[in-house]
Amino acid sequence: MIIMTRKLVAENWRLEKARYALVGNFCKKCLGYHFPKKQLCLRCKTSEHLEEYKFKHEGKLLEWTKIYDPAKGFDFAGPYYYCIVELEEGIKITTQLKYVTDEGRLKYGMKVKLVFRRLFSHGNEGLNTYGFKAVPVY
Amino acid sequence: MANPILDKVAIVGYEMTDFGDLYEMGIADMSNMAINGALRKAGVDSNEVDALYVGNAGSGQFLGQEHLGCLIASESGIYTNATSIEASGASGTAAMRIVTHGILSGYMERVVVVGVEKMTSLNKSADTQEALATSLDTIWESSMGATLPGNFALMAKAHMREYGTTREQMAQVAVKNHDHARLNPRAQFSNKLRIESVLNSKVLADPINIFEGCAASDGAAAIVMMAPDVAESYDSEPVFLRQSHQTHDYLSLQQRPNLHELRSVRKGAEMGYKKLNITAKDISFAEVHDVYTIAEILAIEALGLVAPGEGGKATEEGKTSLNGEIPVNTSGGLKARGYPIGASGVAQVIEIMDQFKGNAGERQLKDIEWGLAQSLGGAGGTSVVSFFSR
Ligand SMILES: [Zn+2]
Repeated sequence: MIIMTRKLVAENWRLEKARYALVGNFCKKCLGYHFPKKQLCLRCKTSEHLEEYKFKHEGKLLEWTKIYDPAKGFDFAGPYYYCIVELEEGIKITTQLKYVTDEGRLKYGMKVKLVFRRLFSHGNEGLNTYGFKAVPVY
Repeated sequence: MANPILDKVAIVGYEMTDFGDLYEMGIADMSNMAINGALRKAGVDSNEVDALYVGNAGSGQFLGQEHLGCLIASESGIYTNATSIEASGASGTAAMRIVTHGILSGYMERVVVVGVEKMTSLNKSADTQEALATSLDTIWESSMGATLPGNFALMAKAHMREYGTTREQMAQVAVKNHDHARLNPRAQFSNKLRIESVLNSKVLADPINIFEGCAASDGAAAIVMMAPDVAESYDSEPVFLRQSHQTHDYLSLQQRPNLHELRSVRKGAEMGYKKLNITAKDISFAEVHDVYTIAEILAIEALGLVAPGEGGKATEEGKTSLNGEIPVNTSGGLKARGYPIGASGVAQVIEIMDQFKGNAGERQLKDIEWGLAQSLGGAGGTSVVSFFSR
C-alpha cells in the first residue's frame, strides 16, 4: 500500500551502476568524490570537470547496530546488522554488515570489504534487487 | 528584515484533542475539533480567519489522502486559503513558523495553525514503520535496510562511545516523561513506567528498545496566531512567539561529519539566543522531540541546556524532571503525551501556553520567563527551535 522508491522497478534500474559497481563521480577541479553520482558537482556547480569513478570496495566500519525489528521487505534473513562504512576515498555509505560471527570482535574503525548480495525482493514473485553489503575483515 | 519592535507574534487561543487511538474520528474530524476549539477560546469568528496552515507529516502514507489543506478547511467551516506543510516530525512547528512570515509582513492578522496526524488506521506495525522510514533517504538509507529506530540507534551508539552514556540513563528519559504524563489529562499514556520495564522491553535496534520510542497515535492540536496589536483586543496578557529558527543537517546520517550531536538543533538554538540576547541559562523550561530516548539527550545538549555529553547524567540526576533545574517535557513529551507526528510540534506549543497561562494543573511550573520548543524531522535533518515569553 505504501509507495516507496525501492518498490519502483524503474527507480531500481536507474540505480544499478551505483549499487552493482559503486559507481559515483570524481571532480577534477575540486578533487572531490561524489557517491551517489551527481549531475553537477555540489561545490563547483558544473558537470564540466566530473568523471565517472568506481569506488574501491574497501573501507572502515564506523557505527553499527543490530536491527531486530526489520524494515518491511528485509525480514527474510532475521535480525541484521546495519552500519555506516567510510570508503577508502573518504566517502561514507550506509549498508548492512554480513557474516558477523562474533559481535564482540567488531570495532569502530576496523577494516571491512564490500561484497555483492541481494538487498531485497519485490514481493514473492517480483524481482530481486542486488547491491553492496559490508563484511568485516578481522 | 522585520521591525524588531514588532518582531513577535501572539498566540491567543489553543486547543488539542486527546492523543491516542481515536477510532471514532477521521483526520478532518480531529482537525475540526482542535481548530474550532482554539477559535472559540480565542474569541475569533471563523470568517475573520485570514489563512489556515496545516502541519502534517504523512497523510499520503497513512491514509492515502493528500490535498489536506483543502480537506480540513472544507470540513472545519473555514472558507479561506489553506495549505498543508510537510517537514516530517517538524511539520507542525514548520507550519507555525511560516505563519510568522505572513503576520510580520502585515499580510495576515489572524491565522490558525493545526497540526494533525491519523496513524492508527494502518493495522500492522511494519506498515507504520515503513511509513516512518519515508522521512529518511529512501534510496540510500531505507533501501539498504534502515529503519527510523535503526538510525537513532546509530546516533545512540555514537553518543555512548563518545561520552560513555549508559542504557540506564537513556531509559530514565522514558521513565521521567511517563511520570510527567501522569499529571497531564490529555496524555496518551498515564501508566508509571519502571526503568526495568524499559530495559527489558523488546529490542528494536540495539541499543533502542520498544519502550524508548513512541506508539502510533492520532490527534490534532491548533493555535490561533495574531499580530501583537490585533491580539490586544482578544487577550490582555498574550503569550508571544519571539523567535523561531528552522535549520537543517544532511538528510542521511552517512553524510554528517559525526553522529553524537544534533548539529541542526545547535545551529537553530544559537541563532535564537543571539537574536534575543539571552543564553540557555535563561530558559525556564523546554518541550523537546523525544522520539526515542536518545533524541531527548541529544536535544538538551544541542540546545545548551546541559553541556555536551552531560545529557544522560543530567537526566539521571533529575535535573530535567518537573522539580529539577530545567524541566524538560512537562507534558510527557512525544513518548508519553503521544506522537501523532504532524500534531506534536503544535502540542509542544500548547504545553508552553498551558504553563504560561497557569493552566497546567498539577504540573504547573512557577516563575517562568522563557519557554522553548524543539522539534525534529526524520533523524534530525530538519530542526525547528522556537522561543516563547509573555
Ligand atoms: Zn567540483
